[in-house]
Amino acid sequence: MGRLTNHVRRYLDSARSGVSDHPTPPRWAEWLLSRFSPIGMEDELQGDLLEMYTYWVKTVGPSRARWRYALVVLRLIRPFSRSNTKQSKEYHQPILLNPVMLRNYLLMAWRNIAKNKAFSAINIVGLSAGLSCGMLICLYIYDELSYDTQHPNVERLYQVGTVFVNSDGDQPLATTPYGLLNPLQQEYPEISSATRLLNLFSDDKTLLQATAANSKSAVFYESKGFLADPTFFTFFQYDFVEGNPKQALANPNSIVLSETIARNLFSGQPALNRTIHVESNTNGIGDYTVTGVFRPGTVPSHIDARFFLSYAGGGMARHINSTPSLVVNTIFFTYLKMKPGTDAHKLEAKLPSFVEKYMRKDLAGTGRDNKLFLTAVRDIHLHTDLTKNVTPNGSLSYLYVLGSIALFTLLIAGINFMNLSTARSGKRSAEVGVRKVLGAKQTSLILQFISEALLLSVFAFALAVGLVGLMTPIFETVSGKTLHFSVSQWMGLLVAFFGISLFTGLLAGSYPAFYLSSYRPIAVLKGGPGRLGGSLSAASLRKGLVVVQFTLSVVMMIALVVITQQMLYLRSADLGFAKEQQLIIPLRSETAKASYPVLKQALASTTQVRSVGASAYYPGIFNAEGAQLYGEGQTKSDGESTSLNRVDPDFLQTMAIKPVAGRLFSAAFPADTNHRIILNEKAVKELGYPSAQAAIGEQTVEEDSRYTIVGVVKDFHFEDLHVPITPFGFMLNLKPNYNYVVVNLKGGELQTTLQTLSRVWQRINPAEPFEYSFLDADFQKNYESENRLTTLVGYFTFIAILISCLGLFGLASFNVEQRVKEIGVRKVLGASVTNIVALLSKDFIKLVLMALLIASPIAWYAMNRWLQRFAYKVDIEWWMFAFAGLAAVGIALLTVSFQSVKAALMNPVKSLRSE
Amino acid sequence: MKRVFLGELEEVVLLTVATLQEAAYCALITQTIDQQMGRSISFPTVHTTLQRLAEKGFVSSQMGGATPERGGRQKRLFRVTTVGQRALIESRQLRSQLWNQIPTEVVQLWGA
Repeated sequence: MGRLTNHVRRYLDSARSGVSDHPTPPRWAEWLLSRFSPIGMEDELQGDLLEMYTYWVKTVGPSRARWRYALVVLRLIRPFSRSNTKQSKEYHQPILLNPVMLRNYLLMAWRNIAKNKAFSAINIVGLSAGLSCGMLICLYIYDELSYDTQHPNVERLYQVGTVFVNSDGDQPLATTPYGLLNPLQQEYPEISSATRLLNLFSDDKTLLQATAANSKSAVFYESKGFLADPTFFTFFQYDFVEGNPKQALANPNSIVLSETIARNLFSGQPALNRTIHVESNTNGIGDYTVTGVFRPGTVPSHIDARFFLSYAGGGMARHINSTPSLVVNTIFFTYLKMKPGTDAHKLEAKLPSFVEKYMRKDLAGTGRDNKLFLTAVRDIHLHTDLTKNVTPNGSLSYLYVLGSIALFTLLIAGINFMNLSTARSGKRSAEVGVRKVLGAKQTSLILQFISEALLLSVFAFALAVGLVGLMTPIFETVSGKTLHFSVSQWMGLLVAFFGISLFTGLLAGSYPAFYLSSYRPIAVLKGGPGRLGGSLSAASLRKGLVVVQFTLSVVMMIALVVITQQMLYLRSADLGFAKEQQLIIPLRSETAKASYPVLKQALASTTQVRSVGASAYYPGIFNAEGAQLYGEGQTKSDGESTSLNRVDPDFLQTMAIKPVAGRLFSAAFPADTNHRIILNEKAVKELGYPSAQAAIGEQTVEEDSRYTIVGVVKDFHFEDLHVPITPFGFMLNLKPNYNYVVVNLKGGELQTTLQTLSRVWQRINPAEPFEYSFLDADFQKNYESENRLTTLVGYFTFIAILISCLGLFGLASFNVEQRVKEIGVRKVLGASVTNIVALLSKDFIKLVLMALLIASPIAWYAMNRWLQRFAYKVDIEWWMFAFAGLAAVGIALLTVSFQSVKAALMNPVKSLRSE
Repeated sequence: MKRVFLGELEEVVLLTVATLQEAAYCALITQTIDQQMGRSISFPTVHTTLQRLAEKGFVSSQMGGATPERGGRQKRLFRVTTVGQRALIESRQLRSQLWNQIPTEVVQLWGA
């Protein structure tokens, strides 16, 4: 198309000079038009527009003419104008996202899914297993993250903690002494209010007794009781069904109950203003008036309470008032509410001077220093690591572990998806070739493959939601959590999960989509190696992904082995006392405690009982009592913090705690009084005696009391195996006010023994129910979170292996399919079945071995970190890796052999007869 | 094959092409519609309408007639094809048929 001939150029020049008094159209628009006119129309459009421009200058004036010119050009140039080339008139171009095309993509996707049922099923099952794992873990993490969000102004609430600075390191606590609150409030005006809380630390359960109008009384043992200040409910949100939270704890001897307790005690009657008789090891005995009933919240809180007593008026208040020191009884949880706009960090920076002013004097005699610190209430559950907070903290690292497990399983499932899709590519290359020849563009093929992946992920999502629904109850028991979500939260989570599923589908589907759609049609249709270039890299990618999958599975398997070993060790470790056949009977009420001598007689005289002892605490529960003990001639600052237990003369024998020097308490030594003590080896060492024998007969001092050491016992684990053994002492207590009876049973039929013991109890304490627990089970309770982890990791390992195997199975069957002719030829040439199975399995086994090699150091590192939590732990040994590796290889072999044996047994005639 | 309809805009443009006879090209058509019908249809709209008419086979075009005022560039000159003519006649007949069905008194009442 010659544009400017010579005579035209003349016209052009004259035209230019003729219109030179007119302003010309915008140059950029002219340029755009000359460059981007629809093909074949450059000339006419430029000419026409020049004419139009002149017309516009005449009719609407030059400036608007320029404006119009520009607009028109923008509408006419190429990407915006209808492309009206000759070709497009003859071949109509489908628009990619046309509804018809979309329907077509979905139809094609559906047909492909329906055609390859086995592959699709493997894909969907694998993906939904991964997704449901991910969803469950997300639910758990969401719940963990929502702790304490319900309290009003929670961002202004802080908990005050204390650090004991000893010569042997810092010991941070979540608690403070009682009297700290008033001077704090006086000193710092930025504190708007403050409140205190104390758990009933010596009660594993508290006795609550309500007397109804018809004088029938209901007695229940309840756990999770607290003492609280009147301001408590202005800090923390509880939904009151009865009573007014502002007034609830204003009066002494008030009690606030959870709805469940109130229903049990008053059998559904209103509880407000009724009286409850409370007997507590911590707070003594008293009658309390019900001033409120609350409904347990749906949002978890770090204060997981079932009832609150007003602090004022109880035995604890009397005890604390008698010791006003600001450095002892560091057992109170103190909360501050900051004034709006004040900075808690600035307040925290001022606390050292507070310690100087108010606590220095009292600290002088203790041999330690104190520091105070603040923790935001919102951070308590996940971001603190204080061992004894109101309720045990959640652990952020645990969440990370779970989060990575969720990610791992999703990743494995996604990899599966990718692997199976690319593996199928050989079968689909012909389809791609034909489509391309018929005019499909790469984009439309990509869209088709992606819509297939999306359709699969939608199915997987539906299946996963069903699975989650089924598994939530199991998950709740395993994780020890009740998941409360409102409908709107559920909807939000569902939408989020749907998004995640689609995203997974998209991600997993996009690689095969791009890979498959890039085939060159001619090469493919010739049947030749049209995809050779891509095939090699794709095969190695597939192998790489299998390695990743199995690495993750093997890591989890090794973790499972190590965790199981550690749990076995925890269960079977020699604790230094006899934990089997030991029955614990709690004595909760005063009458029960007073009845101990009679009870002991009666119990000991039954044939099934070997011996009976009693004490304030028993190993495995929190030993609240302790003292700073020091030796003769030492000063208070040399004191060793020693846990103390008050026992009856038969407790040590009953527990089978072994003496290494001296003797145990015994009824045979009537001279034993309350000023005799038996220490463990650790305490003897800390006190500085050269040997256990040397300590016998020596005196040890606490404040103004002196105790004679009459015996030394072998170190034993009075706490669980997370912590090392610390100094411990037994003191004789002859007054019958023990908290627990320990009964050593002689084996035999447990059921009848329990019936006998129950009858004995009912005869002596007819008003109270017979409760008991087993020492070994109680001790195991300390490993609850580890037990949960074991079960969780167990489940998830199973799922990860399952998904990996599904993937391997798919790949193996694909591999066999591809090599069917090769196998046929080999068989014809005399290969045995074993040869062929070995040939087909070899490749996969290599991959699994490689995975093992990668997984071992990762697992070793992770498990080493985990074991750090225990003071007593198993070593990670080589056989654990070997075991996991063997299991992985075995599982892989089993999966692959299913396909390879089938292939090896096939009659070569069948595979070779058609070409 | 389904019947190809003639839209209102298309009819106007097609009629203008017929009016202008041999000299019908896009710029002139736009200006004519602008002047004679007092109706400002933008140049690109006329352009695409002409494309559409060409696709439907109502007009045919050929290049020719470069003039100085258009910078010596060629015009695309449009002619109404036989199909186009038939479509115009048909649409006119359709209209008069409908007009004839309105009772005369009513038309008189309208002041026509």
